[in-house]
Parts: sequence; structure tokens; C-alpha cells
Amino acid sequence: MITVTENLQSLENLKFDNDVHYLKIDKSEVAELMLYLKEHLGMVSLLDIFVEDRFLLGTSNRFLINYLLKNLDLNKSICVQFEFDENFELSSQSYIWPNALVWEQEISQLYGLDFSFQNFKNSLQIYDVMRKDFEVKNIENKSLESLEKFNLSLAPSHYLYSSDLEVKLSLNDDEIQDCFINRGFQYRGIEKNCENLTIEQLIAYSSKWVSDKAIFYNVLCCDSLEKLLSVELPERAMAIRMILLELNRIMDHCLSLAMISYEKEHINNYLLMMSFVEKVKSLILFYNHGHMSTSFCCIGGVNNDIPQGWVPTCISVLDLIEQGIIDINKTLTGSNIWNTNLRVGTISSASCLEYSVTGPTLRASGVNYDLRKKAPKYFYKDVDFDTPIGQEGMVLDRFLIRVEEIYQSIRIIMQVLDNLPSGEVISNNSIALRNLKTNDDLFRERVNTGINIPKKQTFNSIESSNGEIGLHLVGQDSIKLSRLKIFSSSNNALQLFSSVIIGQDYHESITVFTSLGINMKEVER
Amino acid sequence: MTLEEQKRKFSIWDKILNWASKDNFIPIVVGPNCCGHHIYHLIRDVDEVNISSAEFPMAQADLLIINGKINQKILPNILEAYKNLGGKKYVMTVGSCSKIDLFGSNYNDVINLEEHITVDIHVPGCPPLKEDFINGLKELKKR
Repeated sequence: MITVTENLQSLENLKFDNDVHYLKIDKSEVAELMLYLKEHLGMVSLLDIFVEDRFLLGTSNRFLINYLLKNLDLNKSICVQFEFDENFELSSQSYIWPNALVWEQEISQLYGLDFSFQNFKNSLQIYDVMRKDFEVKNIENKSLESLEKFNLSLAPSHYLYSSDLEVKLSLNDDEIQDCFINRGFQYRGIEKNCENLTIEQLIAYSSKWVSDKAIFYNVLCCDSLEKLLSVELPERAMAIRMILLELNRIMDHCLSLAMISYEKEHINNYLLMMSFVEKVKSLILFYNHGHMSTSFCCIGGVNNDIPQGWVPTCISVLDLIEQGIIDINKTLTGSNIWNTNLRVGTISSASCLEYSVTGPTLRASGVNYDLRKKAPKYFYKDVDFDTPIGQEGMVLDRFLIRVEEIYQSIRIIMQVLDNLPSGEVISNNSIALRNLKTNDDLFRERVNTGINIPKKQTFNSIESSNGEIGLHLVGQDSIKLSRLKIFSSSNNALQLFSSVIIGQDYHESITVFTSLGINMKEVER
Repeated sequence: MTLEEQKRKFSIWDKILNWASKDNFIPIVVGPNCCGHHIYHLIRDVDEVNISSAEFPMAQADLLIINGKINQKILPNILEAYKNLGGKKYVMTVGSCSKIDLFGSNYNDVINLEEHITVDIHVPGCPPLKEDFINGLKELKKR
């Protein structure tokens, strides 16, 4: 323990590769080290826990566990790694970071490992699919035994979320005393499927992971693969990626605003917002002939240049949306009834940081944290935009922040369109692949042979419409990856939701859920 | 629906009910996948075929729309929904991934949905276009 802490006196002594430092320790040192990192080095939030199975390597210690911790002020993260055996009982970190329970429960179900904890607040029924020796066995869910005290089963009544998850509540009159979340209805085993794909197949698949955030995940996947292979982008490709990222942000914010207004029975506003969603979708259709799942990225740039006549239609659509926001400010934000209805569900900044939730939820509670400002990619450092910040962390704050962020992303797109750089949209090394698309057989052969990925580990993250999303990639010096892990803030937000609603009225819980913007496709991968 | 049920002769009361619900579908959409959002919005847009966009109780509905890929956990819920449909029971699957494994599959997925439910019609596409969806409903109406 002492040898480790000598190096860890301050963050300046450590070497950071892309803002991540990989720290290998022995399995006996974990408990002391985690507390030390949180208290002395300011690693406030636990972003992610994931396990890598090394069965094919044939090492004596079969599993490798990774804890990704982050210092939000300096934007530096430490990845704590240690190896262990099948029989070793892991200690739970939930007494330091309460959101660790979700990740630990997933690990115990996916790999059949034991943790030293008892109570779960949510359940997940899947089998151990991530093991590489394909042992299939049923794991009994201990937490499902004591369900008799939950007397109200409330799936969020909004029809967009009708069968995604099940929330069970135990009530005392109208007050919620305990809550239990039953999830796993959407588990598709994406991470397991990705281990069998080559790079080109992976990029196409990434746009189908989460349908509402197809562009975010597509750019994220391509960006982290470019980090692994160290490829540089031409300027025009960066600008096009920026425009489409902001379009997706507008679309997703419009969708969540539509959901809140449907919840409060403002049908006119709901229809207005859904029409904006359709208009942004039709813009993307015009660009790349795809509704939602557009795999427009490729390694070293983007597939298509902006078509003729796209820029004026984009500007006219953005003008429409801007006028719509002004309408909302008149009709909704100006009215007393709307404002008093949404003054519920306060989430303090302390509990946000405790559960390491980022995005509009964190900003609504008064913490200025935006990855576009902290670690700018592409041209975000050259563009003028503001990050709105709330005061009290109520549903109203989250609503207003989303409205303001739509306006800010319109500002960003207008600035990029004014100064659109000329030139190629794809770097010289990658042009060969695009030319092959005319010949089907050659293209198919090229996709199946793939590109060799070096033996290296990276973590990459971008700011999506609902907090930080990230991707771990572990290469093994062959065509395919050895492990891929998707991280999203929605998973932590779901855990926050189950703790926030206790002690509140059960009518309000649905409004709180919609305002957090949880996407269940991100939670269950 | 088994073959015997399809072949059985309808009584007069059945014929009256059939005539009453001839022009109208009351759907229930299950399956929590990406096509779901799309279909919910399409149902409000369709003008050519009468399909109700309001939420009805399960006993009055006659069309079950299943989106995308189904996994082991949600399968019993879908079978229960199918059991509780009142009167006629039509089943429509939507989206390419309910038929084909686009990017490989693992054993948590339900590969052959038709072993559990008889599917009347399948609308392909990722997500399906509006015209395809309307054509599917028109085909279903002929029965």
C-alpha cells in the first residue's frame, strides 16, 4: 500500500494517455486505495466498472476488473485494474459510490461472480453470456423473493415507455416508501455480438445500438477506433460531424420536451415538438438516405459530402425550430400553472455527484460541467456558445435547460455552416475503401478481412444529449476486439431515480422519470 | 389461431360483429424496440386506413403489433397480451430484425417467434416506411 501511495501524492506525477491513467494494483489493496483516491485526489465520481474474461489467453488469474474513476474539475480519470481468480469474492464498493450496485449486479449476472453484498434495489434477469467458454447456467435472482410488500405496480404511464421497465412501489397513503425496478426487457447482448465483428461491421452496427442517439454512438465508435489506429481527419469531415451531432442533440431534446408536455397533457405542444423531430429526421434522410440509423461515419472521415441544396433546407428548418422555442417561452414558461406544476422532484448537486450523473441533470442542479467546454473535440473550442445552468435542480430547471440548449446548438450549427471548410471529406489513406463500394464482391471481401487492431486499451467519451457516453475498447492484435464496453450516464440516472422518489407523492414520480431523460436502450445493452 | 378455428362457421352474431369492426383496427403495440417510437407516431399519421390512436383496454383490441427483436424475458408478457386480446386476434411483426439476424444473435434472443405465436403479416424495413406500413394494414384488412 505504501509503495503505491508514494507515486500517488498528486496527479502531476502520473502519466496520462488521452486523459486516462491505468493503475495496476494487487487485489488485497483495493479497499484502502479506493477511499484514498476519493478523499485525497478528488476522484468524486465512479463512471464505470467492467470485467474482461481472459479465458483464451490461458492465464492463471482468469478475470481482470476495471474501475473507472473521474475527477470532474481537472477532467482526468484513473482506471484501477486488478486480476483475480474464479473463487475470489469481490468486495462491493457501494459504501463509497452508491451507483456501483448497478454495475456490480450486471457483473455478477454476466459472469457468475460473487460479491459481498445483500440488497439490490433493482433486478436484472439475464444469464452469463459474457463468458468465453459458453457455460450456460441459470442464476437465481435473490432480490425477487421479498416482493409481497410492493402493492402498486407502476410502469411509467407514458406510452413511449410502455413496456420498457417495471417500477414497483410500496405506498403509505400517497407517499412512496420503497421502490423496486424490474429491468432487462430489452437486453440484446450488444457487447457480446461486437466481439465477432470486424471494424467496418462494428461501425455500421454502432448506429443501431440506441435509435434516438444513432449519430452520437456512430461518431463515438468511429472516434475511438481512430484513436486506436491513430488516424487524422480532414477539416471538412470534422465540420460535417459537428453539424450532425448538434442536429441529433436538437432531435433528442425535442423528443424529451414532447414527453414532458404529453405527461402534463399539453397535446398541442406535444404535436409541435414531434413535428420538429420528424423534420430533423427528414434532414438526415436527405443527407444520407437513412431515417434514424445512419452509419454516415467511416474511419478517416465521413462517407458522403453535403449534397446540393442541403444547406438552405437546413437553415429553413432551424429557423422553424427557433420560432417554435419562442412560442414555448410565450405559452408554457410564461404561464403560472405550468411553472407550479413542474416545481417538484428537486435533486441536489451533492446527490448528482454521489451517483455520478452528468448532463442536463447535473447542470440543472448548478454544477458547470460540459465535456464540449472541458475537453473540446473537433472545432468546439473555436465556436461561440454558452452552457446554461440551473439553480435548484427541479423538473422546471431541467425543462428550461433543454429549451436553452436547443437554442445554443442552433447557434453552433449556424456558425459552422458560415465557415464551412473546403476540401476532401475523407483522408487519403481511407479513400481506397470508398472507391470499392462500386464493386460488390471486392467490397464484401474487404469488409470481411478487416483491419488489424493493435493490443492496446482506450477509453473515449463525448457529451451526448443526456450526459456523458463512453466506449472502452480492448484490442488483442487481431481483426476482432477482445472486449467492448458501452458506458452511459442513463444507467446511473436510473439508480438516482430510485433513491430520489422515496418520500414523495407517487403522482410526481412519472414526471421526475421523464425529466431525467432515461433511455432504456442505453441502460440495457 | 389454429386451422380449425379459422374454418369454423360464424354465427349471425359473429357476422354482425365482423361487419362492425370491418373498417377499424384497435391496435396494441408491444415490444420495446426502436421501431416502437416510429410506429406510435405512424399510427397518428395514417389516413388511408382507419386505425385508432387512442388507448383502449386490452379486451377491446384486435391487433397486436410486435416491434423488432424479442428476448427471453419479455416473451411471457407478450404471450399474456395475446391471450387477453378480445374477439379476433391478428398479429403483425414490424422491422427487419424480427425475421433476420442482422448482426448475429446470442441465446438471449427469441429466434423463431412463429413457434410461439402465429404471425399474420410481416412488415420489413429498418425502420419501415409509411407506405409499407399502410400496405400491410390493407393486406390485413382483406381477411
